[in-house]
Amino acid sequence: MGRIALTRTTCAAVIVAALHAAPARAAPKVWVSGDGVNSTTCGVTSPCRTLQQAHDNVTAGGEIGVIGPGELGPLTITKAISIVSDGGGEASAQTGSATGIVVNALATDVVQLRGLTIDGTSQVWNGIVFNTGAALHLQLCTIKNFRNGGAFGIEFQPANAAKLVVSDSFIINNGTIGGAGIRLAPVAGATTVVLERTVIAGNYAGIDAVPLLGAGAITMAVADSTIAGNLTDGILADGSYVPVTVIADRSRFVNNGVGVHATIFRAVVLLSNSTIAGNGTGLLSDIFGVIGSYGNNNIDKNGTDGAPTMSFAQK
Amino acid sequence: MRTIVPLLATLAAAAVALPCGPAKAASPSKTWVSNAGFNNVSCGAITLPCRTFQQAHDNVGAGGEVAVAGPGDYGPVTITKSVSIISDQAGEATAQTGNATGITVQAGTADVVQLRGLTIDGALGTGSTGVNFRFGAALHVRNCAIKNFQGGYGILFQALVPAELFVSDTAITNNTGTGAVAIYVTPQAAQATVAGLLERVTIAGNNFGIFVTTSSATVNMTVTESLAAGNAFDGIVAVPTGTGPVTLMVERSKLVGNGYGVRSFGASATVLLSNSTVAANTTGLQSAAGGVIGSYGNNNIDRNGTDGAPTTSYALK
Repeated sequence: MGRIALTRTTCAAVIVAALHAAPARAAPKVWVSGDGVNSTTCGVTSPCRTLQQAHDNVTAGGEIGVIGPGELGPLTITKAISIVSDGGGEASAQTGSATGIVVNALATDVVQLRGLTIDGTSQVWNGIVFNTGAALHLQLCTIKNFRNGGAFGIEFQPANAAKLVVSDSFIINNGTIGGAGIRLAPVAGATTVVLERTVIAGNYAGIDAVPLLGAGAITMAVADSTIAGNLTDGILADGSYVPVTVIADRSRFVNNGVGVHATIFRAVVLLSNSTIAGNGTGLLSDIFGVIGSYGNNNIDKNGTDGAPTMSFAQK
Repeated sequence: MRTIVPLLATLAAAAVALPCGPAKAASPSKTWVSNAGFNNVSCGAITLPCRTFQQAHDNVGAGGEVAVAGPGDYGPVTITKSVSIISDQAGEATAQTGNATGITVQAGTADVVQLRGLTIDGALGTGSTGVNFRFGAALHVRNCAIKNFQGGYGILFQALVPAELFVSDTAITNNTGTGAVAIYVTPQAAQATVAGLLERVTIAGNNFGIFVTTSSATVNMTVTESLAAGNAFDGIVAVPTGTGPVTLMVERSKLVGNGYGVRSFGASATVLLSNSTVAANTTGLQSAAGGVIGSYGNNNIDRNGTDGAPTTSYALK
């Protein structure tokens, strides 16, 4: 077989190259497909079958590309990589009885996932568990159906300072008794979170920001997003141990048990240009949790609307 | 089993059936690339796709289109004419580069270059750049992901002629390391006026986000419905070094969790904020040496280490 990169070569050179197989080695770009075959050299001249094998064959900093649709299995990520499925058909990390994607990378590693479907098929635990790494970027992903009791779509529990950036994604139908679309429970270090154009719907809870004792602060921006139809809190900011700040802008918290819940004084949620409607309780502040408003939100038609605890001025 | 490169027999048959020869007299207006394609001076028909962007570019006529027929890594390309490179739901099309530049635009002064649906990945190579624009009338980047250029630039817009930059629905991420910038606008000649529009662009986890500097050229850019988050230094910074005015209109955008949300340096720098959020940055707003940060009075500027304040109020009309 020839090598994958045949750049600007002559026909003769193509044939010569084809007659001499390139030695196998880890490559910066590895392909995976539902009809691939796993081996320690797969991914370059022919695709791997699973994300795990592709991950093992790609160099740190490299990329796994999905070349054809498939159920590509669960995966544990231990280095900086991207996984990209851009219109190559559904690329799922359907999980059977495990976690979909576990991130156990170095504290400097950035992991980027684009275009994946991570489906729990109603049986298993969490969609993504992030234990260590510098950042997790999700774009155009769907995480759904992790229904085993307290399952989470994303469990973000870094043991180091880390960032989570979620864009244009759907996180739906996770958790039955406990669980959440996203649980932010950092163990140590400051956590920065961004959600934009993302739907978090029909989970047990929407977003639980519940840092543990010893963690750094959580700072979170929610923009142009919808948190809807979650059984308990749409978003919970829990300031039991460290500051949790949520800045929500142009977003919708609708049809949840509680739209926005800030508990204990270190929790601050600022609302701007947002709608809180159709929840059992719209805004819930307890133990001096702060819910701030820029005075431009729609907070109506909840069972109990509740009220912001502070006003903020636009500048 | 799906094969990424065709088997030897196919390859040999192709070589026999289509021996290397001179290019067709007239360049086609559309050429295709495919992972199973082969490069030669006449490739590009859907039945005979090229293997690389560069060969497909070389074979297509000016004003034409390079289209992606399936997933693949199509390598770096230098664009020298009006051309579009389009991957529209045909699968990931990458220009992975290692230590090189992904896409270089060195076209004519009236040429328009359009990139759509591409992933441009630096694979954490050092000092590399995703898209390097030097000559051309306009660059359009849509639905792209540009990432992992370490110590380099996601988009380096260093026009030597008047040029327009349009970026929409694009994520520019993890361009880190000393000197790295997600979008670096730095016109290189006095006449190289830049007009820019960024809409629905996600700029996250870079060293700098949007960095605009010029000595004597005029730069006017609008940033709308975009996000700069978690960048080590600035979300947006305007640093004119001379008399060339830089004006950035930032509306309905979010600058969150950066070292600086917005900085404006120098008397010819103006950044206007409208309906935007500047929060959770180490420093929210900072101006120096007469740089203007204007506000329409409808921004949320809170919960930064130091919020800072707009220097000038503008009225909605």
